[in-house]
Amino acid sequence: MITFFIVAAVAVAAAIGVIAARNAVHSVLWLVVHLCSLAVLYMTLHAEFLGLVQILIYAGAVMILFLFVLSLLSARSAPNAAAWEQPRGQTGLAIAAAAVVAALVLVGAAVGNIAAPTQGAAGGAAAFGTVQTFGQALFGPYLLPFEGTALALLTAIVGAVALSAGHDDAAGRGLPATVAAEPADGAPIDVSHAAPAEPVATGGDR
Amino acid sequence: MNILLYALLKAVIVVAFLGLNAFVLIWAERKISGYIQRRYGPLRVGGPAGALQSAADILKLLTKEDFVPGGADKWLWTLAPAVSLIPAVLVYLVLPIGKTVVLQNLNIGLVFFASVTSFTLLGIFMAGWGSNNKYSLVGAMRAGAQLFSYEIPLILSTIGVVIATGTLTLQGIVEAQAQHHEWFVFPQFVGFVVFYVASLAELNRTPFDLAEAESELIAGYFTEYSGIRWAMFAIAEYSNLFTTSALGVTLFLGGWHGPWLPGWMWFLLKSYLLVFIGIWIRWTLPRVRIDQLMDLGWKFLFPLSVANVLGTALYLMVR
Repeated sequence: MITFFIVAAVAVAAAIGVIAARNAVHSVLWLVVHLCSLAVLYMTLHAEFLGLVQILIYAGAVMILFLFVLSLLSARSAPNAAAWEQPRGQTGLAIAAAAVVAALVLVGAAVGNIAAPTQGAAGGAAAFGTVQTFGQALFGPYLLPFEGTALALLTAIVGAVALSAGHDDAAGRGLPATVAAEPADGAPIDVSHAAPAEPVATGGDR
Repeated sequence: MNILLYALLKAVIVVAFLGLNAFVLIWAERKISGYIQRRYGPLRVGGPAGALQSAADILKLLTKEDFVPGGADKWLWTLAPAVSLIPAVLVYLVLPIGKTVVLQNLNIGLVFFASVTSFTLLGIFMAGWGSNNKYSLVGAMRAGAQLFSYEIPLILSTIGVVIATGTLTLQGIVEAQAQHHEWFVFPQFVGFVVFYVASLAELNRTPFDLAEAESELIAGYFTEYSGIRWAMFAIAEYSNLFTTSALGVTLFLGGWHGPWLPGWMWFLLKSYLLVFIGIWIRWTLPRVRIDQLMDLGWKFLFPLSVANVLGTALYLMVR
């Protein structure tokens, strides 16, 4: 319980750091701290695998990509304060929204019957959070959402490649070599020939 | 209380080993590179073969002025060496050193290893960006692209072993090899090759040391570091060299399994053999170009590791 409060305090402080930091790179690094403390929370709930995957994927990979994009866009010098958009009532709205969410959570916890998920679908408390139960849940009852997420992510990849390749007709010049080399799924992205749905269909079967 | 004391003891052992490992490897690297280039290497400091050269190096690094470059992002710049050292220390938790010797036998040891080592890149990025120096930044960007690209084949190449043993425990993987007296380097040869090449790239060592390519980038992401802060990077680098080799030994070369000698000795022997091969490669091969590096990673190692995973799974299903 003490662990929970310490880690939760760190998580909240880091989350505040994300929006309070004037420097975008500092924001991302605060987000890394936040995601890591979330991972620790998962681990205290005996979901060690989920916690480690959280670190591997979010804190490790996604945040590094964020940092790359930011430093490529040269976020070093923060714009002067006068040029910032002044909040026009967003602060109040945000506080109200946060209060509503907090109230919902509290009411839900008080009224609803949210028991601690100690009983996994495929085993008792001992098996909860292991890779086996995790995988069985992912490819059993949650197969459809899982594949749907995969499809959505794939669409995002294809979209990003298409956007970075430019809107003009790429037939004459072909894609830049770096872009053509990069589709992570091995599905060749050929803007000039393939119908938009085609790479999605081939990649989604994986 | 007892648990805390025990944990403290483990931490002290790991940190002591970290220092000793860097002490020996820095000397060994200089000596081996010397012999490869037909010269003697360190000769004069202590002992018959300059054996105390590292002690002199450490003394020099400790007595240097602690200098922070003017335009640096002070927080990031200061924290970066620590951030790259922490994962180097943490991975020792799961390495199975002997039949009964492992600091913490996690049931997801391999995932732990992968997720902890992914933090090295964060330290490198903080160093490169925080230095406010174009060479540092270019080095960090290269390191990012490289580590990111090679992490995927590195992890995929270990999946074959995981499928074959059905466990993510590193100790369990070694036990499976000891039981059948068959090291996975034979049935998983493709996986081993992909693993070793990718691990050399992950370690930022020649032929893949583009992140610190001294002929173009001065020293890459740690250009602005000196003294003990630079030493922290070096210690982390040599520790990673050892732990990655040790992971290779654990997954493919039978870990502590071997005749006659006690297990921990086999473990150290095999690990340092892989380390030696790494040093050998570093002083033999020239640096690759960045486009060759990306080609090798994405067009060769990545498909190869995927094919290896699929092949292993198919074989185990059909058998």
